[in-house]
Amino acid sequence: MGFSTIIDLIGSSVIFGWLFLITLTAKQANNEDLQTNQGELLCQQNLVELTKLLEYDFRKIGYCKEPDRLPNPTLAILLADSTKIKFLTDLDIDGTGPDGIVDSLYYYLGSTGGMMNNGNTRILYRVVNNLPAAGSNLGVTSFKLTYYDQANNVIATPVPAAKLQTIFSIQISISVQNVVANALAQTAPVNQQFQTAFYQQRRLSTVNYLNR
Amino acid sequence: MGRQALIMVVAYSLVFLMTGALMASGTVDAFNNAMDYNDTGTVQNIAISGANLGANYVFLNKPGLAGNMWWTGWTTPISYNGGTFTVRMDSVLDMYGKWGRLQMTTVASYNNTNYTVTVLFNPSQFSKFALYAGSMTGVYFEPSDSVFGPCHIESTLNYGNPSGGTMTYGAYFGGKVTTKSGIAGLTSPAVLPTFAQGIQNGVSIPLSLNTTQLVTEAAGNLFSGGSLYLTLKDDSVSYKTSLAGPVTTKAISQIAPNGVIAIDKGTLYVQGELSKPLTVASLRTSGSTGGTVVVKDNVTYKTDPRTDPTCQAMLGIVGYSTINIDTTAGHSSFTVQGSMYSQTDGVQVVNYNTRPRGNLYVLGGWCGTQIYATSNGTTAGLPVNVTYDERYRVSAPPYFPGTNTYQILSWYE
Repeated sequence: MGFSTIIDLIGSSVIFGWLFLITLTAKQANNEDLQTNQGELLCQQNLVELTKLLEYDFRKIGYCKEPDRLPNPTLAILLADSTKIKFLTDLDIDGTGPDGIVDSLYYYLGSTGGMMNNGNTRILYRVVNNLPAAGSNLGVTSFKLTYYDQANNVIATPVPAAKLQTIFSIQISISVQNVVANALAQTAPVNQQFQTAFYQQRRLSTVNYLNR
Repeated sequence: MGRQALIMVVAYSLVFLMTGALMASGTVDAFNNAMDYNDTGTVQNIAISGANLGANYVFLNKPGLAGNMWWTGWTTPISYNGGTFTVRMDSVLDMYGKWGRLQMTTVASYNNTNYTVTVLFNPSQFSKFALYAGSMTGVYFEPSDSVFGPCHIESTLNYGNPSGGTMTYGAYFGGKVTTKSGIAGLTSPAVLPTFAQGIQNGVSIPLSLNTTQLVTEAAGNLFSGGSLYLTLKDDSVSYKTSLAGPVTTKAISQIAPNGVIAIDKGTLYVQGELSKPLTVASLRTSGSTGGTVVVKDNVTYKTDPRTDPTCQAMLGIVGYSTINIDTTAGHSSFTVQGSMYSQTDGVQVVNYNTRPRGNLYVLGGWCGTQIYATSNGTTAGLPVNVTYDERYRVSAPPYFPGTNTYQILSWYE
């Protein structure tokens, strides 16, 4: 009797320990998968919001509700470089629509060493009318602009002032990473894992730029 | 023992169910994100397609121009690519309170998402060209020529090198160029011009002078036969109908309330300084005489529109026949600020082969059936320097000849 009880106890302990280990391992794996999925989702959502904003703004290069105030839209691009661009447009400042007053919009990429956990991320700044720079950390790691002339030749950057009017199309490439690494592998820097999403738009339609 | 096992199984099942649900929700969120972007893109494409179809209708049918019927748009939703779109047309004012512009609003719907595209059209006028030539017979753009503004050639654009020239670069076109019949080198060698904003061939925009409209707008101040000597004096005009005749001075608002002063079957002489919008025209409603313009001396604006954004002066010089740049003992160079239009001929520099050498500075543009030489290339005449008046991309002198088509001024989405 006593011996069999002991055997039962030992067996129960072994089985319990085994089940406990299985549970812990499963939980750890699930957590990691969850975090990975959530990280990817966040990455994709950030990229979608960013590209929506960029497409919304870039489609209005050279646009003004009162065209007489910006008669030559090919003069709208004021600065064109590989990671920054400044142009004239007509923004909806107060939510009631464009007001017919020419505004300037300046996009540029900040330096590395971003906030949060991922040191590769940089802030993409959007400056309206030379007001103080504003940007949010959506995990941008790369923001590249390539300019093409009418003959589809690449225009070297920074584009000199005399050649700004020869810009015919713009290619935008953006890479976004998760701002926080997977919790399981935070032993920086080697084992940190960041989800990445990439977007590229060639020949972004700038219908107002060359319409006159 | 059995009960405990059952509890353990239930507990594990709950744990795995919750984990599965959490993972599934993440997947669903990612799918929703992708579908949201897809829906946005699709409704955008439907709206842009609808706007393009509407714009095509406007270009082909020219509602409200040249007697064409007005078009209200497509107000009944049209099915397209899984969604629908409607198009509405409105007539709108410009910032100066003038009618004539069209606004097309396209609204697309797809999966409970809406998207709007607003396009603004303006009747297109020939003043929008820095240079328009119906024909370039025997004439070509040489390396020293440059055109900074829209340019159209209603035939073949010729280019070449002057005799004995050793240029390694060609003419420069800073604005968009359109031609009806392409480009051709007229000399050998001939260096291909630079088309900084591109060139489009196969585009035909024939000259079109609406004499009836100009006669109507000149109204009671339409002069007939003989000569009309006009001296522009800011917001007034001094005029006489013979060289030695009496001079009458009137405000432009009085003599030309619609902005047009015209003479029919006669010759118009013009000079002076302007501070208001005005079109001066020499017409030929019938017969075979008249329709000539002579620029007697400089024609300038009171302030330079390139530096004064409030400048309202816009001059249109319209001739059925030749527009002559006269000679004057006062100076050899000439300045013409305004857009010139000749329906059957072009701008000619009088005695271009022998007159003292100077320059012809034009701020605006010129349109004509033919381009003529303005200097002999070396010792006489007026080499031309045309600077485009950027305001003419969206505006024009009053009742300046139109192309009978619309142009898109802006596209908002």
